Amino acid sequence: MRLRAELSRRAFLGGAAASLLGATACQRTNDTSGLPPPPPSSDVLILASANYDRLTDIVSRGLRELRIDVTGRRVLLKPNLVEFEPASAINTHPLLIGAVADAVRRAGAADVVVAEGPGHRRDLEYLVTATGLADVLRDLPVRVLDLNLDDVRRVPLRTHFMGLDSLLLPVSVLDADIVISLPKLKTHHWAGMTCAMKNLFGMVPGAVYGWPKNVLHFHGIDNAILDLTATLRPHVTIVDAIIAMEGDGPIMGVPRAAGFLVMGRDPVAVDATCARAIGIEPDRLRYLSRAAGLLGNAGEDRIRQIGEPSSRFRYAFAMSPSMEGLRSSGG
Amino acid sequence: MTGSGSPPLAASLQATLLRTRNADGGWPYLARRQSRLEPTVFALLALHTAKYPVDISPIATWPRRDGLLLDTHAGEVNLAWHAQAALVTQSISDDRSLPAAFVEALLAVKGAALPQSPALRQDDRLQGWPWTQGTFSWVEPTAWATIAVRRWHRARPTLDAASRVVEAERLLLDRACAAGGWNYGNPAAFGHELRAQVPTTAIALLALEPLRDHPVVMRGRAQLATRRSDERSGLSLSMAQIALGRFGERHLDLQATLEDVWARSEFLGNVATIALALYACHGQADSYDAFAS
Repeated sequence: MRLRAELSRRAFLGGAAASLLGATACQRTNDTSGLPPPPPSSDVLILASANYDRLTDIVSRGLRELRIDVTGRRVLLKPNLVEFEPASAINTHPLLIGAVADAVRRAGAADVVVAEGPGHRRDLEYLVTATGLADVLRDLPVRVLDLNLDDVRRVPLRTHFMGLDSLLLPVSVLDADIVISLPKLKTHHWAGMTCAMKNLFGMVPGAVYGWPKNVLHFHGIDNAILDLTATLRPHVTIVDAIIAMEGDGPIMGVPRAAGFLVMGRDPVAVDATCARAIGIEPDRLRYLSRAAGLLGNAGEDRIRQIGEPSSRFRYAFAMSPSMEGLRSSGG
Repeated sequence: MTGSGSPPLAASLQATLLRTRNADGGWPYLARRQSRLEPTVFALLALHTAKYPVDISPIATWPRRDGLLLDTHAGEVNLAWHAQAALVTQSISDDRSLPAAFVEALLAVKGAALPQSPALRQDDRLQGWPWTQGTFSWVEPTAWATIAVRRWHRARPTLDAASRVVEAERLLLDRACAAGGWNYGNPAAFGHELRAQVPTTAIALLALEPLRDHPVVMRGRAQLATRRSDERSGLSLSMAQIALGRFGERHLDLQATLEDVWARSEFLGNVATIALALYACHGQADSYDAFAS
């Protein structure tokens, strides 16, 4: 079932493999031997919040618990802004983005930029306005940057699951002192789930690769997730699962009140924790299963879970029919 | 050179454009960054239309690979931006060899044909133009390329150009959303109809203008007219004004809304959008002829 979904995705957004490439990259085999091993264990913090009110204190507590020091640093916040539909849960909630911006400013960050490169729309101005993010950020000393349009630098990929040698990537991401990824937790009809690792797609510049960013889909969505996670590792991830999305995500699903945030330095551990919370067996997500032990920790025995007990947040999210095979036993 | 009688919005946009030009003669997407192809092409078009003397040597000397313009000097080819250059140089350059070479290079590129996907309604065998070489065809690069090729070959018809344009038109018609209009290029997935977007609807309509009586085009045009101010951004409002203007519709509210949005956001500093907005202000005088085919 999953294999069929992956093949369909390739056909959907890219198809017949190896004719691509040009100067983007030469085809090469994947060699992961140069990667540093994951730490013995990864801390993942779960924080409860039933709504989006007064999140600054909650986020500040999380940054302290994870010992994220932003003093004097240039901080880049990367939310997940995809499309606007009223009353949907497609995007990272603007109030969470504002709360994180406020928290890092209060913690002494020298500069804060909210940066996103939407993959389906080239009109970030519209998304920022329609979602209400512009209003939320109006009184904060924070800039908004369109990563689709930023200057780019060629970066060698640290793994080569896509078969690519390098990508052109935004200098603002590469040069930031601290990158904080702010994904929305959603089911995803091609990848199974979109969260910490998949959120990195928004760092690939549309002005170079187009809308959608076909080069990523062309070489396999799971492969792209792995290469981007290996290469563009954020310093910390804060997942918006206060209102998540279930069903036919990432756009056409329905909101699901889940009531928590997940924070961690290891995006693999964060994704594994979120997968378990929504009833997905992490080993059954291809990209997560391949990332485990290579790019981070996914096993429960290698995740030190702090904050709220994970047992408090256990759901069985509705999924696309093609993704039903991802469910945990009993999920 | 703004010209007496230019509205304050146009004067402000033009001043911003002139201020953001780089020393190499090109324009960046965002001020003080590297020159990129799309903002450079649209800035030259907008200033030319505003009767400001422009020097197109940055485009003439822009680095190419296999005849295709690179997005950045050390970067990749983006077919949509190349197609825009192939189109705009037909209006602003006296050197006809430039658009001739650009259109010829454009005709050498085709999007990949794919087998039919059960998850999709569209016909993936149709081939238009991709964003990047070797990948699948999408609405925006196909639309810009269609206009550029059709316009160039209007006076010099060839079988190759004609067949590419016909297939591109079929592709664009096939990718229309059920309720009218276009998004990036998937009108439906997994049985769900997806929504159109204002900028891509406007660009597709420009490409399909010669088929203005086709029901799909009429539906898209009606959609755009109805939703013209729904997406409050410089890009959406400018492209809506330009596309509807090509169809002979003048909506005074668009210019007023554009002015309001500019005052609030300055279009997030997007120079390509600033240039399109300036073209939306000045191009009205000749019915946006630069985007006609």
